[in-house]
Amino acid sequence: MNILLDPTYQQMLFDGLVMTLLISVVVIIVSNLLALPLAIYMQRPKGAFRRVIIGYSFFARAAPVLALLFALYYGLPRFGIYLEPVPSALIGLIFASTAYNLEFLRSGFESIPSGQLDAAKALGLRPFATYWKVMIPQAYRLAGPSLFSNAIQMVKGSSLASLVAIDELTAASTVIISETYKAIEVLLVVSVFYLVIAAVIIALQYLYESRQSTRRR
Amino acid sequence: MGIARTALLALIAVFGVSAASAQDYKAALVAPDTITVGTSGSAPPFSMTNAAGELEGFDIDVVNLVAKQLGLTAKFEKLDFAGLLPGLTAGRFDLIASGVTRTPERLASKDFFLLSPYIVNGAAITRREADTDITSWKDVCGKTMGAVRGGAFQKVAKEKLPADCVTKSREYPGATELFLDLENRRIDFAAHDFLGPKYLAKSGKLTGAVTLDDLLTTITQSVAVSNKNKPLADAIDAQFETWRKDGTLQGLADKWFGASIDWSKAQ
Amino acid sequence: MEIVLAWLPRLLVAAALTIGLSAVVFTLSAVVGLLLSLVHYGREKSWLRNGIEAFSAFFRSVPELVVLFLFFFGGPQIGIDFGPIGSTIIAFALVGIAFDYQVFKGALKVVPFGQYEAGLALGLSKRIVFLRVLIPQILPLARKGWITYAIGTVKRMSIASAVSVSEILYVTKQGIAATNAPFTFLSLAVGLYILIVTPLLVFNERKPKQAVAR
Repeated sequence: MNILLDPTYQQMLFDGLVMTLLISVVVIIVSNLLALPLAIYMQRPKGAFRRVIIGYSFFARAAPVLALLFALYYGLPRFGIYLEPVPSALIGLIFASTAYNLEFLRSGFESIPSGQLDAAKALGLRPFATYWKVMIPQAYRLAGPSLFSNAIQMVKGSSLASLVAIDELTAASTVIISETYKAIEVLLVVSVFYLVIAAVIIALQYLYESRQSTRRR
Repeated sequence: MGIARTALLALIAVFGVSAASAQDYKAALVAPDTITVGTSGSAPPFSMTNAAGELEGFDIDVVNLVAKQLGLTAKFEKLDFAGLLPGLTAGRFDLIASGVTRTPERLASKDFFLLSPYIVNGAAITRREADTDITSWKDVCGKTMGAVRGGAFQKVAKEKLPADCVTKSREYPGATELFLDLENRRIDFAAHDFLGPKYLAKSGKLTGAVTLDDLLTTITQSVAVSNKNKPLADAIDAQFETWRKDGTLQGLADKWFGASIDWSKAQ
Repeated sequence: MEIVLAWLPRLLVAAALTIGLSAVVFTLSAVVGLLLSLVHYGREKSWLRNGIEAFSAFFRSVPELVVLFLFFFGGPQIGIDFGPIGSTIIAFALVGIAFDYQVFKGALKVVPFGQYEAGLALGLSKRIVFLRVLIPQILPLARKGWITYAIGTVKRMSIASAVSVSEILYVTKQGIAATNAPFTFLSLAVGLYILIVTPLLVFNERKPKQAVAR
């Protein structure tokens, strides 16, 4: 545990942690924001973009995240697009994460008994209000656990950014190991960091779910 | 008859002893009669992977020669550079041959034996041809530097350059990724060795880049041997001593670098 | 173009390795995950279950890359060299077990506990109740979750490239370095992954048979 005492390594780990948090938070927020309109769009019976979205969802969930990151990092320059590593990793992770969130929300929407939609129409609710008051809350109630679980997956995904030249937490651990050879100590410390982040997300989930049950159905 | 017998016995004793000590290095090997070598496969031209997926390079040739001399089979294992020295310390390899720079910290380390030089090199800047505003190490302040993770050059640069000269730097798993990013304009210059990129440019594998002749410092490189096998380290060191003098290493340098080595520059 | 074609056999061998490793990992994960979910089934408080929950929480929160490095770099530190393949199997299996344990645990919750009690009351041994009553019911319930994770395992195998395992992405990276044709190779790689994953995806979409006996 004496690695922790070395200020250079402390700084490296801290910088890595900041980068990990930055990537994770941006990916989680943006992918959730993007998934909702897409999921709502998919509720229409017909739509010009339905096929496109289905294709995107399949591809983004079937392709390994690391391959996507490599494609953005090594492949885009071939087309003259020189992205910085961090935006490149963000795009890759958001691309993958949105697809999963989209699918969870779709399941959420589809599980709502259709009788509710009919009732809403009968009550004269306009489509926007129907969505806002009836469908979205329920879809999120159902999709909630999966969305939070996916959030943790995205935090884990940020560690892959170390393989495309981003100095986040896992990358910092690689450098420290290459100098101190104390792999177990460094990696356990880093594991604890990730555990804490996951625990925070789970705590948020708990908060979210307890707020839900106090509301009347 | 007495003297002849004594002489004969002495001869046998000498050969016997040297045969015995020569075999000592076999005792501590990772795998019997095999020398297990860690190399990165992405440090051209020391250790590279060719189009057919096979390892080749200066280090590969050196190791094969060493193995032949010692009567062992060489078995290469590829791993990113940052994992090589930890792997050696942990007993995964007998030897690391991947253009390992002989830095003061590494030479002082008790975790492995870093042998006498097999090449003399330098810490050089490689930059894109078009970036003519970088002409020497004096011009790099404020620019983004790239280096190989776990390698020596970022430390060398930090030590020899004025403080706060280079504030932005990126690290890569290997030289291949490093030069790819130089090409892709994500870094302004690569802090790496001198001979390597020169080879890449000569062989057409690196285009649009130029390696400056201004060396920040001379460096020497060698192989690192597991600290559990001192006889092996001594045996190879002895070989290097011979090969420095008899031109074997120069021959390899001609083949891979097209450069002549000035051994006097090696301390 | 010819060079790229020359790499095709190597990519196919890598694909076979990916499939093989994934199969070993997700089988181990499912079997051990199922067994763990049955440990101390029904007990109110169990230190063993708490231990398993802690294990599950740890291995679901820590990135697979870190767990992999833990075994690959950490093993030799304590004298055991698992090697790239060994480290990959152990690391991914531990993570897989942690996830599948949750899947099977969830499925078990659906089965009324009364069935277990009834079975014991009838004089059946615990083993028989598990084998004949519980497991047949939880398997169809857990199937979707288990297979989804198995699909993820195939994709996550790409992470093993970080420790030089010659699976698809590792060979792809080498191909890119040798030929400077990143897009061709990455498209091939992603194509291969999609090919491998599609049968599993299709299988997953089938409706589960009536699961819980009522």
